[in-house]
Parts: sequence; structure tokens; C-alpha cells
Amino acid sequence: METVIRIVILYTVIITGLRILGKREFGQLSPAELVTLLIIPEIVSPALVREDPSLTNAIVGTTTLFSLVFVVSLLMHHVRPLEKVVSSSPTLLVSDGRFLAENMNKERVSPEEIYTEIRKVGLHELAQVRWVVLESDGTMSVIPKPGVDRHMHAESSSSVGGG
Amino acid sequence: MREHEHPPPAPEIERRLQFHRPQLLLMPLMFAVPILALLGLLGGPRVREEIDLGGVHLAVEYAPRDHLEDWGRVYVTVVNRSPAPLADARAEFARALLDALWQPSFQPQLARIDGEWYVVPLGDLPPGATRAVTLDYRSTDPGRLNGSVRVRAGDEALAELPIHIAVLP
Repeated sequence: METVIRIVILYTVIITGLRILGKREFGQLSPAELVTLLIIPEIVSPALVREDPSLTNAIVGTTTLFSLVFVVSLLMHHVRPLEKVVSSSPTLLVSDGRFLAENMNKERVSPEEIYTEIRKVGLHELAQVRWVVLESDGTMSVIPKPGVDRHMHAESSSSVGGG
Repeated sequence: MREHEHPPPAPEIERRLQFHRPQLLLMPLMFAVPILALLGLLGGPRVREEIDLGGVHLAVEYAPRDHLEDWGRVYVTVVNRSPAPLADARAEFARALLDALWQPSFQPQLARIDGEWYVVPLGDLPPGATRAVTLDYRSTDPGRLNGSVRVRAGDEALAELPIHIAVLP
């Protein structure tokens, strides 16, 4: 019983903490995925190294965590406000070729980081970008302006590469 | 702040409860474990068994479900409820229960192993007097342990309570 209660408390605390930290810390994982990956090794390692030889505790811990993750994802799918609370919503960092400084400051994203993402899609200047979005999982999506085609990407890449 | 144009949001779908077949089969199992644990069926809660017999009140408190290699404790209380004193009273623990445990230690100290019983002396019990015995142990093998605890005075067995401990892997 104690294991179940501990897992529920820790899950809630870690999810809340990650939500407070913001999207940047997630590294391509949703908060729920990250918290699951954080907690599982802690639950199973005592049983693996025989620090706590009882498998029962490890099984109770992991099934509690998996059940919790499943129920939360189920609720998130059906209760939109909860989805926003747990997963957060995407943040616009660049709009129509201009930095949105307030959002960048809130998310602690530097201009250089945005330029790095822009170069990854073959662009080299902000004017070519329609939107840069910081997604819920911490990744950035770069959407070029209409007319910035594949040919232009290639030119941009070579000109950046050529200095 | 000026409102900026945002990328179009994802269109909504009709959200329904739908599951993969393996999820339908395995989900009940997954949910069952924490529910059983919350109900105390996978270890944790202690029970207290009591009996009044032969002028003696015998109470045994223990965890009926232990985890492998966890330290466990059995707490035995003996009260003399007869008007006469009990001479040479002993709490006795069945060997069948204790032989499967690692390092059983008693407080007060074990006096001897007498046939099928571990014998802990309680001394003379005046009317109304209470004695307690604590047994600490560590389970070494998963399985079910069955035994009993009894109170004897002289050659007479006064009260006995069965104990069943399931050691979970």
C-alpha cells in the first residue's frame, strides 16, 4: 500500500516540477514519458541488485506507475483542460520573420538556438521563416514562408556553409 | 502585445474510448496489482488475532503477508485473566513456522527448543499481569508458513493461536 501511495505522490510532484521547468527541459519527451523514464529505474533497480530482494515491491511500483501514466493519458485525451495543464501548449517563438522576444524570454530560448534550428532545415535568415514553434515536447518546428522552396533551401545551405 | 498570426491548430476529432486488443487483455492485470496492493493483499498491513481461553488472554500481532528477505515482527501478548497466578508460564512458537525463517530472535531470550516448539519463558504471572514477547525474523524463501503460538504454564497448554504467513517473492 505504501508503495502505491509513494508512487502517486512522486509522480504528481515530478510532473508538476517538470511543468514548472518548462518545455525546454524535456528533450523530445512528453512530461509523462520523461517522468516514467525517470522513476522506473529507481523502482526496479533495488530488485535487480537485490538491495530489496522482494520482486513484489518492484512489480507493485511499476504497475502503479504504468496505471497512473495510462489513466492520466486517457484523461488527457478526453479532458482538454487537463491536456493543456499536463502537456502545455506550443509556444510561438518567431512569427513572420521576427523574433517574439517575450515568448523567447519566457521559454529561455536564445536567438542562436533558433538560428541553429533554422539552419537545420536549410534556411539561413529569419526573413525566410514564417513560424518557429516550440512544441510541447521541447523540440522546435520551423515553417518557412511560402515561396521559400527546396531550391532556395539548397542555396541557403551552401551560402551558410561557404561563410 | 500585438497578436501574431499562429500556425493553424490541429483539427479536432471525435474522442472516444478505444483500445488495442492487447491493452484490453492486459489492462485489467496492470490495474489489478496496485488495487490489490492498496487493499493490503500484497503485504503491509498487520493483523491481530486474539483468544481468551483457560484464564489466559493471548494476542498475536503479525503481518500475514511478508516480502522476501524483509524483516518481520511477531508481537505476542499474554495476560493472566484467572484469579490464580500462573507458575512457570511460557510462550511457545511452532518450529514449523520458525525453521523456515532466518535468524529468528526473541525478546525475552529464547530458553530452548523443545521438540516441535521454541520456548520463551515468561516467568510467574500474577493475576492480571501482562507479558509480551517480540519475535523478529527475516524470511528467506517465498511460500506459505503455517504454525501457531501457544501459552503453557507448567505442563498445561492454556491457549493457542494459529499463524499463517505468506512470504511473497
